Amino acid sequence: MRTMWDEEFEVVIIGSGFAGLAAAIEARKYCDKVVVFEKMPVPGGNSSICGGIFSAAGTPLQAENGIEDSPALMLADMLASGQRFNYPELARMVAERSTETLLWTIEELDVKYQPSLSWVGGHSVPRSYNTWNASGSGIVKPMLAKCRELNIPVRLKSCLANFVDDGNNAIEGVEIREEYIFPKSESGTPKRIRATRAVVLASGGFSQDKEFRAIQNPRLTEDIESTNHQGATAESLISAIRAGATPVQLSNIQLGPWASRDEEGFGVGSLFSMLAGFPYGIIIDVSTGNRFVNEQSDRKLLVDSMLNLGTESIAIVDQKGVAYATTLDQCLKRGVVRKFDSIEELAASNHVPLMPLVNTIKSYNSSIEKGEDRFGKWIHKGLEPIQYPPYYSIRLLPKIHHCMGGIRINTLAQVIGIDTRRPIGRFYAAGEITGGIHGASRLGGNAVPECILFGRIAGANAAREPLRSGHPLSQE
Amino acid sequence: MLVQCIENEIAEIETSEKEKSEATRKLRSAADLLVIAAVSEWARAAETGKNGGLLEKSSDEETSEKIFSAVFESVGEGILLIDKDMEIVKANRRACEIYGLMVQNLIGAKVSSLTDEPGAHILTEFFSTLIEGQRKSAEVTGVYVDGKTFPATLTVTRSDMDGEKYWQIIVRDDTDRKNMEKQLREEKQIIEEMNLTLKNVLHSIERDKKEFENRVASKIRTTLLPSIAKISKTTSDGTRKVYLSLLEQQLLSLTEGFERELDGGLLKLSKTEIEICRLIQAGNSSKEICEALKLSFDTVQTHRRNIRKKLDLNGRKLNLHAYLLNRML
Repeated sequence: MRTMWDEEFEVVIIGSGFAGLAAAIEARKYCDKVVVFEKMPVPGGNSSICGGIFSAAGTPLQAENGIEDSPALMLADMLASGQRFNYPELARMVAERSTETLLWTIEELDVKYQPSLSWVGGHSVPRSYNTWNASGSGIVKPMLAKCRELNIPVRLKSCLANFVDDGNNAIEGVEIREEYIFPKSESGTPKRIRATRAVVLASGGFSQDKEFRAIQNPRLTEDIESTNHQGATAESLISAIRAGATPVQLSNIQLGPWASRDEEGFGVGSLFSMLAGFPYGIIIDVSTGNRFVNEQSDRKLLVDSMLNLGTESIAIVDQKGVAYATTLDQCLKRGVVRKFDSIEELAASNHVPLMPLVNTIKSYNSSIEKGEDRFGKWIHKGLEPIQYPPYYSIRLLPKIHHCMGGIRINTLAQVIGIDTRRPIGRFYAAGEITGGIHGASRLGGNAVPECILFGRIAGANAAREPLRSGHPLSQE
Repeated sequence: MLVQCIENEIAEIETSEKEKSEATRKLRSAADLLVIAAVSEWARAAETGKNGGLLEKSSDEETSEKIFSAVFESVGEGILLIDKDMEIVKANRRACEIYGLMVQNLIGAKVSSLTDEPGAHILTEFFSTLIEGQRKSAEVTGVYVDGKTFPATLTVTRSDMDGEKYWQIIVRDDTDRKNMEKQLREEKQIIEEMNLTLKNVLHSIERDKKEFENRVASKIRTTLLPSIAKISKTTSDGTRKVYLSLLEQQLLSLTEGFERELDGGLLKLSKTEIEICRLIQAGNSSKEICEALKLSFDTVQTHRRNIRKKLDLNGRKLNLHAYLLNRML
């Protein structure tokens, strides 16, 4: 049967986050007709609401600050937190090309970063850049502007319904529902879009898909909140599996330990904990006033200890530590972080027993002096005892944040077929929809380089596929 | 949602674009008032909730809050709530779509980031001058997430809550309206230009006609009338003959203007041929022409052949009747 097409492009990209937009910009270097489809009425997805943290090894800011780092060290950190579930060849690419990718955002997109580095949990050294506005939108906006400049249409409310193969183990196009209204799967009009070179799937994770994530991991019940936007659902992943893609490690779903109990989603509190509360403060169990974990552990370790505790926990930081928080004003304004003149007030307000808390802080401060922490927090020269008022606290609530699992790709970003274990023709994927790069636990700030790097690889390779021969569009 | 449904209905009604846009405009302003009422209702509810310290809301309040948020989210215009720091504290779905930003990105953002410098200036002016309950509108430039600009109408109302100043902004993306206006303007311009051209054409026709009349009148006055006078005065037959032939000449020269407009070929035709042409032009068949002119059929056919030859129609696939139809004979 001959398939009829409504429209034709050279490269068709699904998703308008970091990976999709990077793929589009790169693909446009090699061919003219590139299109991005986004199912939501607004572009950018989770990328535009994330914290905008970019981890990279061997960067100019590290050199400026005399921080010794290497891709090998970054890879070691990734494999350690990932518990070696990572596909090493993919993880290595992220580590080795992280700085190149960072510089691409600066040189090609003119992304502005803050002048100091952050030290995010699970990384051996400070290696994380922050966008100027403490948000992923600081990268998404310049990407969208670039797309506009390059005449790459970003079509909103256009939901992927199906991949269309050519009967010869290659993808020839997609079925899109135009004027789709999220989340109504039957809304919109089906249109068949042909890709004369290739299709790139960059549709993100499924953290908001309560049913699907519970199928993968029954502990993730539907009452658990997510930092993601509403559109982070699994239907494109299911379409990819239906088209023969290999699903991997779908139960590796990460919760963010730093999210706030006092706001919805990722909000502004997450960055407060991540950049100030955890590295320069302490996490305590509110029922006992005691520390229970190395605050600079990777996310999985932190969340597991918090959940094992079974009670609420808060992070505390003083005036010195709060200097690293990029979102402090908004946190205070929204009541996500509260400010106290004394530890006594902080304890009373948070219902923490005072004496144990005072002892906890005393003991933490002395371990900084001794240079050795019983929970294994690395004591470095930038770390100071908690003793300078005012003090700040944030109520923590782990929220589902990132899907490490997804579909299997190779180093060329080609989707691997489950039947053949070889690449499916003209089918690429990048970003959170792919799986196995971060293993059991993704390090903070590693998704941005990963998404952009593999997005660019996917876009460039898709655009260099040989052009399919002519095929009439449907006569309507 | 309701408003949008009605708008779609309006779009489908078969009537002029102007009436449609007028109806849509009226509908929208009614919707605006509804939104303003709803927002201030919601604001009041928020205030009593806070002041009364009600921990559990009655089901009535819950229902009304649900209704409010349904209206707020689905209304066809963007709504932003701005606080004293000029930051957005609430935004509906339409506002997100208009600016291409997720609600998470709109909230906490400076409202000035959604417009250009003059737009920000106008807003600051509104914020500092509006008194509680007052409403002002302005057309400003909106900025989409990718940097593209678009025409927008902002309607700003101040409504204080809990002793704090707040401003509601209703945002309308005017791209479609402006495009429609532009199209109308262009169409109007084309019509006006055509009008002008027609006027000019009529004008010059009128002028030519006048000129021609003047020419005929002056010829009659200067040449014909004196000749006629001479003829009536003279008694000599010879002189009369001379003047009569002159008169003939003068009359002929008066018709020069027409002759020049005649087809060159037609002038070569003989009297009989012209006669035949007139009959052909009137739609007569050769047979009818034979009868009318009392000529044999063969003679008429010969005349027709000669006419075609003189008019240079030989070898051309052209019907004589069709050729003559538009010509002056």
